[in-house]
Amino acid sequence: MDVTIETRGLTKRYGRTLAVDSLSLAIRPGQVTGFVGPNGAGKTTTMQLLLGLAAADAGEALVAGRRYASIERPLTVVGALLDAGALHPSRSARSHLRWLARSNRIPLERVDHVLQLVGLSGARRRRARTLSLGMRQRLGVAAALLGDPPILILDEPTIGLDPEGIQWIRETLRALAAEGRTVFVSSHLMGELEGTADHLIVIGRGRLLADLSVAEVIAAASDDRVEVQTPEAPAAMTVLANAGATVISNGRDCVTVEGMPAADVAALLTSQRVRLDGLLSTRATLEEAYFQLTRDAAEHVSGALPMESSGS
Amino acid sequence: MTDTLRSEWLKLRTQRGTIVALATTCVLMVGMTAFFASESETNAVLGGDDDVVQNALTGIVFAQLAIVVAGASLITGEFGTGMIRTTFTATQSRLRVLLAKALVLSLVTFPLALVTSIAAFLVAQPLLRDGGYVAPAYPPVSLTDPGVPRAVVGTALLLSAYALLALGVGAIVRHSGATIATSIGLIFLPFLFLGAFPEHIRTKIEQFTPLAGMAIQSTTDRMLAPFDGRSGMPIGPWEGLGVAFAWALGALVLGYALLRARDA
Repeated sequence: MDVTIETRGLTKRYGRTLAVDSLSLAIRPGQVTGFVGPNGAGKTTTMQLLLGLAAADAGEALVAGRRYASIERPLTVVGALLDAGALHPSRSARSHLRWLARSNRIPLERVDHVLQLVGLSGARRRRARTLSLGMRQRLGVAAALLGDPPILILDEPTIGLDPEGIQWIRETLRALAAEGRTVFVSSHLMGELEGTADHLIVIGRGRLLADLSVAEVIAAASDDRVEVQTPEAPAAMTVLANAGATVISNGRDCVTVEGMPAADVAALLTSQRVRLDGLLSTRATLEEAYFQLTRDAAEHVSGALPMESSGS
Repeated sequence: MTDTLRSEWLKLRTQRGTIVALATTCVLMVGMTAFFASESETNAVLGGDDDVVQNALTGIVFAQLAIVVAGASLITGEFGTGMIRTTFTATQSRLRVLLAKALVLSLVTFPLALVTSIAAFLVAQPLLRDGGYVAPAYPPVSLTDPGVPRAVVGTALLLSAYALLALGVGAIVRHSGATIATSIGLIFLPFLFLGAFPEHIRTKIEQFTPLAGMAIQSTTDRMLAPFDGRSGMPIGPWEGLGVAFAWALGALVLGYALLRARDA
C-alpha cells in the first residue's frame, strides 16, 4: 500500500488571508517528518485539509495516494491526533475509544490494547473531565493508533506535556517510524523535534520555506566554525589565513576560524609548531538552524513580493 | 451505515447530559400531566365538552423543553468540545453521521415517549375523576377508546419530532445554548404568546408553526382545549403532526447542507 502523504499546490483561504499557499509536499514512510512553523503558519489547516475536515480552495491533499474522503474505514489507514481536549467530558476513556472503534469496524480488543500501549489501562474507566492534560494527550495517541494505521498525522502532540510526557511522545514516534510507518508531526517549537524528526518541513505564512533532512539543516547552519585557544594568536592567525581559512581575532588568546574543519585546523597548527591550548568545534542546534532558515526564507519571501506584484 | 449507527448509539448511551435530559422528559411528562390533572375540575353533570384525553397528556408542554435539550445535545456537545472533527475523521460522510444521529435519537425517544405518554394518561385518569370528570358528562375513557390511541401515540411521535427538530437546528447553529433557545423559540413561543395575537394570526400559528403538532392530541373540535377554549380545529390531527415533522425534516436538511458546505 502507498503510505505517503502528498499535497500538490494546496491552497486554503480564510476570508482574505491565505492560510495555506500553494503548498506541495511529499512525506515518506519510515521516518519522522517534523512540520514546523510559527503559530498561524498553516500547520493545523494543512492537517485539516489532509483529513477532509476543511475543503481546499485549490490543489490536492492526498493520503495513501487518495483523497481522505474516499478511504473506506479511514482509521485503519490514517491515525490522527488533532486536539486531545476534544473529548466529551462525561464519557470514559474506554467509551471514547469504543465509539471510535465501532465507527470503523475495528475489533473492540484493540481498545484495551491501545490503552495499555499508552499506559492508560488504569484510567480506562475515568471520565474525560478527570483526566490530566498528559493523560488526554496519551488518549489522543491511543485513538490515533486504534486502527493500527500505517500513516500518522499528529498536530502538536507535545503541547502542554511535562518533560516525561514529551520524552514518551518522542520515543513513541521514533518507534512508530522504525516500524515503517509514515509519521507526520507538527510543532511550533523546533527544539522539540530535535532528536525526534529525521526530516523537516518548515512553513511560514502558509508557504513552504524548507524541505530538508535534519542533518542538512544543521550542517547548513553550522558553517564549520572552530574556536581556537592559543597564547600565540597572531602566529595562529597568519598560518590559518595563509591556508585559506577565514580568521577572526576573538580576544587576546582566542581565534575563531571558519571554512576549515576542526581536524585540519589542529593538524595545521601542530605542523607549524603553534602552541594550541584548546579547540572547540561549535555546532548549531536545531533551534538556531531553524531561526537562520526562517530568517533567510523570510527575506527571500519578502524579496520576492515586489516581483510578484509587478508581474500581475 | 451499520457501523455509524452502532457508534452513535454507543455515544448516546455514554453521554450523561443526553441521558439526564431524556429522564427529565419522562418525569416532566408524567409529573406535569398529573399536576394539571389534579388541578383541573369541572361542574358539568351532562354534556361536558372538555377534552379529557388531551387533559391527560398536558405534560407535553413541559416535556418538550427537556426533549429539545436531549436532541440538541447529540450534536452540539460535539461541536462544543471539537469532538465533531474526530467524528468526521472516522466517518467522512456528513449525511451518514447526521442520519445515524437522527435514527438513534428517534429509536430512543419514540419508545421512551410512548411508554411515558401511556403512563401519563393512566396516572391522570383517577386525578381527573377526583376533579369531577365523571359519568354521565364524562364517561370513563380507556387507552383503546376511539381517538385515544391516536392521541397517545401521536404525543410520543410529536415529542420525537421536536427532538429531531432540535438536532437539525443543532447542525445549523452548532452552539448548544443557541440551539436550545432557537428550538424552544420555535416550539414553545407560539404556544406561549398565542393569546397575544388576533384571531386570524392565531389560526396561522396553529397551522404553520411546530405547534400545529398539538392537534394530534385533540379528540374534540378544539385543538388546545386545556389551554385555549376556542372551538374549531385549524388543522387536522395528522396534518398537524405532519407540519411538526416537516419542520424537523426542514431543519435536518438545512443542517446537512451546512455540515457539507462548512469546514468542521
